[in-house]
Amino acid sequence: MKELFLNVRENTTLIKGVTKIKLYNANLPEFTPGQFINLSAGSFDGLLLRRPISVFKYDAENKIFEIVFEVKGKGTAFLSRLKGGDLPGTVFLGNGFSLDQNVKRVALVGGGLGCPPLYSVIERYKGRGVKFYTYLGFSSQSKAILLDDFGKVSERLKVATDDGSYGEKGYITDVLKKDIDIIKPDVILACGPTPMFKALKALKLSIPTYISMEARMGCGIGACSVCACATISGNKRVCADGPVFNIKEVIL
Amino acid sequence: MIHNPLSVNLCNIELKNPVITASGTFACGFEYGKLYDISKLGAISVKGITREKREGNPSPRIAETYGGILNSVGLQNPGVEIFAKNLLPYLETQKIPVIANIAGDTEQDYCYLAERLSNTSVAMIELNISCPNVKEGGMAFGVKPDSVYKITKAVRKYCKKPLMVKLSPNVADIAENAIAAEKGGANAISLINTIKGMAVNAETRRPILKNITGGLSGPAIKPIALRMVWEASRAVKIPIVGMGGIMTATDAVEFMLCGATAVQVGTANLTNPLNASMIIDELRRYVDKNKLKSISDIRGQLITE
Repeated sequence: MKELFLNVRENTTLIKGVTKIKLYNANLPEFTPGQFINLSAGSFDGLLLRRPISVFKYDAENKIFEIVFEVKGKGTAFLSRLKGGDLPGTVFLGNGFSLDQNVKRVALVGGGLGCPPLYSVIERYKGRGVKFYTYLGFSSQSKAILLDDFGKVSERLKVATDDGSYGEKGYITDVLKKDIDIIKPDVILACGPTPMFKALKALKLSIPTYISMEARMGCGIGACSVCACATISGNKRVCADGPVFNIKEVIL
Repeated sequence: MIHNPLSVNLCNIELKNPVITASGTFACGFEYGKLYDISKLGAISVKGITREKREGNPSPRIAETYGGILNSVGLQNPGVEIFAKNLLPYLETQKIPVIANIAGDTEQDYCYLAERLSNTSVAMIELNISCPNVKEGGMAFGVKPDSVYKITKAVRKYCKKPLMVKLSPNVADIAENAIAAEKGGANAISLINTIKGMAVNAETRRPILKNITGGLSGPAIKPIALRMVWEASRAVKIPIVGMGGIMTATDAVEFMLCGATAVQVGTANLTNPLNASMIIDELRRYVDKNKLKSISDIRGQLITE
């Protein structure tokens, strides 16, 4: 964990209301896929809290990483307009996803803005011969993001939309269910909204499943107890004990 | 020994500087210790400690408002025994004065905690009778001057360390409550705790906090906090630790001018985890620039005529 000034290198609008930013610092620490950053949204307009945002891509050699986020309020709107300059941020936070040596086949399940951090897992483990089967769900075709990126590195990419405007109509978890005996994953990694996690849990699969939770955060480093996630062993901190939890542990 | 112009004396405890991290924003310092050397802090007021483990309130527990933050954590903590056995030893290695912030449902809880923690290395005990986020106890003890006096007096008997009473701003007359704490035997008072408030989402028609109400902190409350420190400082002789929206050294100086011996920094730790450290560095520059022998020289030096 380090507090650094992050230099804004590139800013791209992926679709209306979703921004991708490249950030650089020569002293970036080690990164585990699924970790996030706590980024200042500028000390303007009465905003005091940082924005916790997950990492999409991490380039250790060039000390650059990319974040993808939705413009939801004043803070993210400010970030979406940045074309350069330095922003303070704490990097990299949380436990992230780690794969055991014996894991060879992974199903990734992403929902909406939960998709980006799953890419960082492929980036890290693809070289070890791990195969990735990717299932992404969106509300509509106009909200679909990163399909080309995931398509290039996945053995199989399936998409579902709530309105059927792209891919299969319905929940992505149902698409996964249909494929599960074909792809035979050793592990399932998921990131998305709570209803998606509930649907995933309802499938009652016997495959180890890890989910990355989201919460309103305070400090982002594990000190303020704000981002509580209810688990079978009491409240856990999403920022420091998570954001990745075993789906069996979390009370959804 | 080299003269340190930033050092302050709080109830005969020598602080390297007047900057104390406020309870609830800093846990026991371990996480911030990964980002900077926390031994540079004046002191740490640890997350509120209760007799037994508490899970706190349901999420969401935080909302951002204009210049402020509302929280409704509700005293989540591992309980006093885990604090003493697992958390305090880390702080002991940091060689920094520890202020144990204690909270309970009953007068007996507070007395028990004060006695238990008097048998540890903590430097001072901070009586939290001002938490707006718990149903039992908490702020209920801190609103009326009579009950502030009663609980302070009761805890005083069991507390063998300097006792600081943390006052609530959700009161009719802060000076009366300050006097009540002093009469009850407090060695110091700290103020202000958060102001009870709420935030609403106009689209969903729901409160943002699951608990509906929470405690407001941050720069939005600073003018109120300054006024209350000023009023309390004119009412009592015991030292005052001021807090409420301190983001910079200038803010800290303003509190000291209004009568504070030391200050606590809370919300600023969330805005930037290095803020408490940066405030100390800035205070050093303030002392140099103003050629002060001691930062304490500005205490209560507000010019009003």
